Amino acid sequence: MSVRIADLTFTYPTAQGPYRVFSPITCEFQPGMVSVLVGPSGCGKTTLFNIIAGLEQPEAGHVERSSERIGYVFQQSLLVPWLSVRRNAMFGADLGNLTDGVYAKANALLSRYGLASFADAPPRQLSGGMQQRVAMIRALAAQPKIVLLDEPFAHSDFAMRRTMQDDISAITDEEQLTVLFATHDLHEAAFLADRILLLGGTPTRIIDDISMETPRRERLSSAPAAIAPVVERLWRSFEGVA
Amino acid sequence: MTTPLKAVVPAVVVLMAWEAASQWRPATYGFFLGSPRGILAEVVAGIRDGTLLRHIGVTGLEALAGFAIGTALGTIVGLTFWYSDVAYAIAKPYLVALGAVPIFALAPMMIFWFGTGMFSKIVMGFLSTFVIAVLQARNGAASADRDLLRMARSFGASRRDVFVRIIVPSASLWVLAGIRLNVGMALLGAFVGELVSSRAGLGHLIIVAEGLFNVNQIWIGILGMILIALALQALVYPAERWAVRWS
Repeated sequence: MSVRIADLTFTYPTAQGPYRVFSPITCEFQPGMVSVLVGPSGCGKTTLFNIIAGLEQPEAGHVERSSERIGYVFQQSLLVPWLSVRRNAMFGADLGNLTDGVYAKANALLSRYGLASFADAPPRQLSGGMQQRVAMIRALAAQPKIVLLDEPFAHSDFAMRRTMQDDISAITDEEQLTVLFATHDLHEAAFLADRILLLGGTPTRIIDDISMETPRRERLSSAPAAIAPVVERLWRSFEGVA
Repeated sequence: MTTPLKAVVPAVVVLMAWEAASQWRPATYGFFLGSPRGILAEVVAGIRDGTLLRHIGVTGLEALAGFAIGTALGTIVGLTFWYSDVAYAIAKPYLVALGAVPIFALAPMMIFWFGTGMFSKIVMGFLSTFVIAVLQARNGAASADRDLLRMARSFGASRRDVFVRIIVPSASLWVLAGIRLNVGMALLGAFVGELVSSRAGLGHLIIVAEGLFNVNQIWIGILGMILIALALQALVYPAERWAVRWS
């Protein structure tokens, strides 16, 4: 076990009274796996991530984590405007007093993601996609055991998206990370996941839980055809509750 | 004609008209308005015997010390309130009350407690700046981007980490606005103290000149105050450049 969620519920206060986001949700996420959460906007993916990261407290139920070292890539890049791109990339590592090796790794990622020439620039000089890449490096450089990726590629072009998908896949295997990835994109989910959780309904529950048959590396390196049946199944499941 | 030269034209015209009026009717215009030539002569005499520079130095030092102590302490206190909303809620009415008291009302008591020397004027400068610095720093700290705080917390940042890395830099623009305000407020505090009771300083110069009906000296006092304000603003400028470099 790396992350275990048991009987989790969460309620938002609204003008019309409390709004219950989840039916009690129970699930586990294992290390070395990319688990993708898909579902419509507002179904609670971000709320679930915030609860796992300890930023929100559940109404009931509990979350167990095997490590407190979490790398969270938010929907917005949330870069610190007064720090340079490089200092932003090191932000999590600096907090954790990590070693020089981590800095070398972060610098290598800055180069790999085409950000080396902007390393000393303020974040406002970067495009939205570039800022999101810095946020990704910041999360990975903090040497996390659990990685939460909340629609991290929304602003990235297809080539950079593919590079980062490959990197996430590789680092998940190498460092046995527990990766949770939230997206609207069913193709991306079927492409990258070892396991897909489809969220939906009101309140939100897990509609479908698919373990991918074709290994992730195979899907990433070869035919998109392998993902078509999975996308089809996700659609059918979703239409069944919509 | 270049723009800076054009900007000088209105001043030259006013000075010439002023001088002409005071020459034309010395007993009325010259008496009530003074004259540019008379001011210049007094400035030269004041520089020669050292009294003018001493008055400017005394007021400048009082204002600078009051400004520095009031702004620094106020900023530290205001930022520290980020740690405790309860402490701020308790302190706020007192701060607002202190800030609402006109500095003129406090001057006699400060002179009574701390004497007619420089120290009482420094305290006046301090009182004029402290509350503004506290409120600006606290409001700046409270206005830090909540999403940035969440981001820092997601990496396990302690409260001290959040304070140092997010809160203090976030508050810098607010603190800077307070500093700009406080330059004038510190000068006002020192000046009011000198007006009430003093042995030196531009306030002293003006109050003595008023007793002697010497309008030229009063003008010199006013010009000296402008000079000090500009010098203090110049001191603040590097901090301003530093604080806004990322915005």
